Amino acid sequence: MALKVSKDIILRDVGADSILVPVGNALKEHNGLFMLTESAKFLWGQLPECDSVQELAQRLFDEYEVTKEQALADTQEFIDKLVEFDIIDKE
Amino acid sequence: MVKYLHDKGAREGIPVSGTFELTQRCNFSCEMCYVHDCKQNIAPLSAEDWLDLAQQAKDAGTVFLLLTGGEPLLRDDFEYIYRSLARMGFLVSINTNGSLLEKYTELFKELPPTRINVSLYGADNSTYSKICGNGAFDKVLNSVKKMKELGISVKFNTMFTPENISDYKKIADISKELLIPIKPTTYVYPPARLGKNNDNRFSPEEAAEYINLIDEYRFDKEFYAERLKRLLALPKGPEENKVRCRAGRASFWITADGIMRPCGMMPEPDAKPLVDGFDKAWNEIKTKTEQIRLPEECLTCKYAGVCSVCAAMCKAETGDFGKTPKYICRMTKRIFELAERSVRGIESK
Repeated sequence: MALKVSKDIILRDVGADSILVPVGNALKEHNGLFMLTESAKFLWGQLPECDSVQELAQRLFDEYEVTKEQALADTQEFIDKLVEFDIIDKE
Repeated sequence: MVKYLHDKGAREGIPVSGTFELTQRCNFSCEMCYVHDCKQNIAPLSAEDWLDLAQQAKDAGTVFLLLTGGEPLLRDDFEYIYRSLARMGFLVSINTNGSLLEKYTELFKELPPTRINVSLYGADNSTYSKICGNGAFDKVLNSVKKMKELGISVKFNTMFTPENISDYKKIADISKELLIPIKPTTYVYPPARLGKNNDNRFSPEEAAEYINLIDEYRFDKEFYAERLKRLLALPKGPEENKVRCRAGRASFWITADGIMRPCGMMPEPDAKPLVDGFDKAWNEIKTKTEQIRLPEECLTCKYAGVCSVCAAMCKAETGDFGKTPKYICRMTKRIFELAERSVRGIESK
């Protein structure tokens, strides 16, 4: 399974906050901004290099002090949200 | 999220939103304009200057960018600037008179702006000719409809003056029919930036009476009555006489000649981002805005909680941030009196 990020979403930093800004047609579809937590920002940064939720969860586990189960659950939740908002295609 | 980011900006001194006045040129020649003056000929900033400022603003945390003028769509390189800004990750909105929108249909189809704010000056070509020197009403309305068809958010801004007040019902009807929100105003800032007065505006009492008429016509009865009640409750006013809006706290304005100000209605304070860099200019604007004090008198005024007075109004009306703008006092008092009269009328019915 590949995780393909929509090219029309740009990550922006506003102070310590991180937001996803839709551009082009994504703006019509999403009509809003998405705020990312620190770990969500980390996961977003890893997305282009990862082919699966498991691989992404492993990166989260390596970076943060969480159990493998928690890392997998959090990653799955993050991916589910992105799929729900059509920000990534789950192929 | 928009409010959250602006509140955060004001708290932490981040310029979350900004305005680029891309040009002073305009194909209309409205008497009340605070920017455009046919006699002034300011060398415009190049596209690269704007994009360089934009990159610095982005690095400083700017998310929302408003492109205005003059008429921003008049620039030959508008498409290049707009496309670049949208691709940089700004949420871009545009202030326009709407007469040149059609030329950019394909661009906005591909990269829709967050919103297009169209200044609507009248309800037919003859009012447009009278106010703008350009009978462009039909063209503007057709373009607005096209933008709506593309799914783009459009808003009308209408500044009512003695020349177009007779169109107020028709303008409100257009807004209703097209489902386009409208922000009407009968208050016209003196064009302080141009060093001019505006002799051709309503008296303060007329400004109050007409905005009341417009609101009564455009709102449904219950909403209008509720609004009046809220006004008559005289909510508490601000506790400090500092700048309270986003200007110079979470937002900036850069004029067509590259001067940074807290807001486009203010002739000062100034900073020079092209010379000193964006960060230094923004820090100067923040510091100078923090030092601005509105009139002490406004803090203890009975109408403080319903008055729209702001630093820009004080400065534009009196030449001094700390002086009470009597025009605004008279307008607010009249708005209150009219609300009292309307509520009594509603209750007696």
